[in-house]
Amino acid sequence: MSSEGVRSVHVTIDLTKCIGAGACVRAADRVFGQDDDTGLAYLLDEQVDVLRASEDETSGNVVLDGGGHTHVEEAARACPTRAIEIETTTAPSGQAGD
Amino acid sequence: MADLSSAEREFPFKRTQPWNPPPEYREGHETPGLLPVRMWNGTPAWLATRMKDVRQILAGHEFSAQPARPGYPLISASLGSLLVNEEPTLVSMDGADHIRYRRMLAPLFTLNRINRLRPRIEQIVNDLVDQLLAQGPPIDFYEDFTLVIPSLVISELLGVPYEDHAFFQKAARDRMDLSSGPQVPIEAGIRVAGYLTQLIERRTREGVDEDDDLLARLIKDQIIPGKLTVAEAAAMVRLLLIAGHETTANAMAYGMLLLLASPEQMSELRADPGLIPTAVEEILRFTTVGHVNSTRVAVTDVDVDAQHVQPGEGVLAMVAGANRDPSVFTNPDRFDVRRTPNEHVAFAYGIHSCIGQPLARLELNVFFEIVPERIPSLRLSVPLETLTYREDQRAYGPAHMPVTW
Repeated sequence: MSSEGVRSVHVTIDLTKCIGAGACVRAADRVFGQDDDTGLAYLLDEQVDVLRASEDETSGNVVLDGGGHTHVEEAARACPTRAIEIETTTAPSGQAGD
Repeated sequence: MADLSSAEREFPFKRTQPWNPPPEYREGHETPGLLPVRMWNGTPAWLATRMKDVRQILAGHEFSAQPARPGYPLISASLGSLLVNEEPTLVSMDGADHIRYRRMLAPLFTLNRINRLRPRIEQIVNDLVDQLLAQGPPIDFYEDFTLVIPSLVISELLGVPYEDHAFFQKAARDRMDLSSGPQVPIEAGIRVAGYLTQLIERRTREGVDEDDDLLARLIKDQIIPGKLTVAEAAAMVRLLLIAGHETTANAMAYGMLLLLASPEQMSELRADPGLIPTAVEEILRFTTVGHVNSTRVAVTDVDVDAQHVQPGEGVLAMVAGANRDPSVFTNPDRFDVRRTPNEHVAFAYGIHSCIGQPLARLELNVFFEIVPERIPSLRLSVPLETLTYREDQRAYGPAHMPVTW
């Protein structure tokens, strides 16, 4: 966990670029889903697209709360059409969210 | 700065070691800019083998996948005639045309939908192992085993009768042969398109249930509403049928060969099946069976590394080179089932990256879960050094793989 504070990650998917390859779901299945009717990607909870995160010290990847397979930066790199944008901001501890 | 008129070396290059790409790819990693090469028909092109350059070319709108454009580098006479003469499918389209077709197929290849096939694929692999064990060695691991698996899976997924698999396997091989004359792949394509057209027309007449298979969904969602003609559908299904055969079969056989040649890694995998997904990614990276993918032509001025590329100049964005880029992969020529991270481009990159990759990954995972465990004494029945490889095919791997157990 970084001592600088809480890192927030804002994730957006450009659906005009998405081809439904599912690479984001493979990389971060707690952040991205894939619509079975269209094949296109979506954020799992559209109400919460600002996500609290910490930095994985070994990989340098941003890992969302809950850890595991939630590597959003890896998802952005894996997306074959570069449809995922992530913006990371760092807020002082205790001021981001609850 | 190099320019294309100086291109002398002819592409594709020959390998000097069967498991490593041609040495010129390493030269491409180390030399600033891109390497000028010349195709079989004299067309010059730029060779890119660094990961960052391959990704830039395949992701960018500065490059076209339309083989009919002047300057497009054709890998062989056979592939050239195919790409230029046939009605284009989504693999040779750009922009809005491409996305229209890709989005018709995308819902049929979602991770969820493909992963639901797992029990059926397990059953297919287990049944085949039963048959082989009953029949006894020796067998050709490729012809008699790994080729049968994707052939069965893709036939069922598409809704094409498996009884006709010999016909499709022959057609797929003819389509993938880089050394044949220009007529062989074209004629194979006509045969398959004719067959699929009849099948689609018959199934449309008989009526389909949407959940039957991929063909049923295409008929119901695209053909009946008039979004896709029967000819377009036949070309699309032909592409999927053929792409789903030799690629996966080669990755299975070649991957098993690598494990047989590294007994300590095979033991690790048997001891810890949790390693299999990581091992499969390494098999994909190391084998890169699409060894002559991917070709493009520039449509606008663009810089790739230190090289300026002009409109109308061909580029060879070799994923087999990118997957051995030493600036991305430590000891890139070492096969390591524990390699992480492993952000390879074996399925290419950009809008044309393989649509069947969830299926290929699932088939490979199931295969390596079942086969090493059920045939623990599996081994080559000839010396490793005597094997030959499919350098003149679009899907690379051992040409024959005699095994015993």
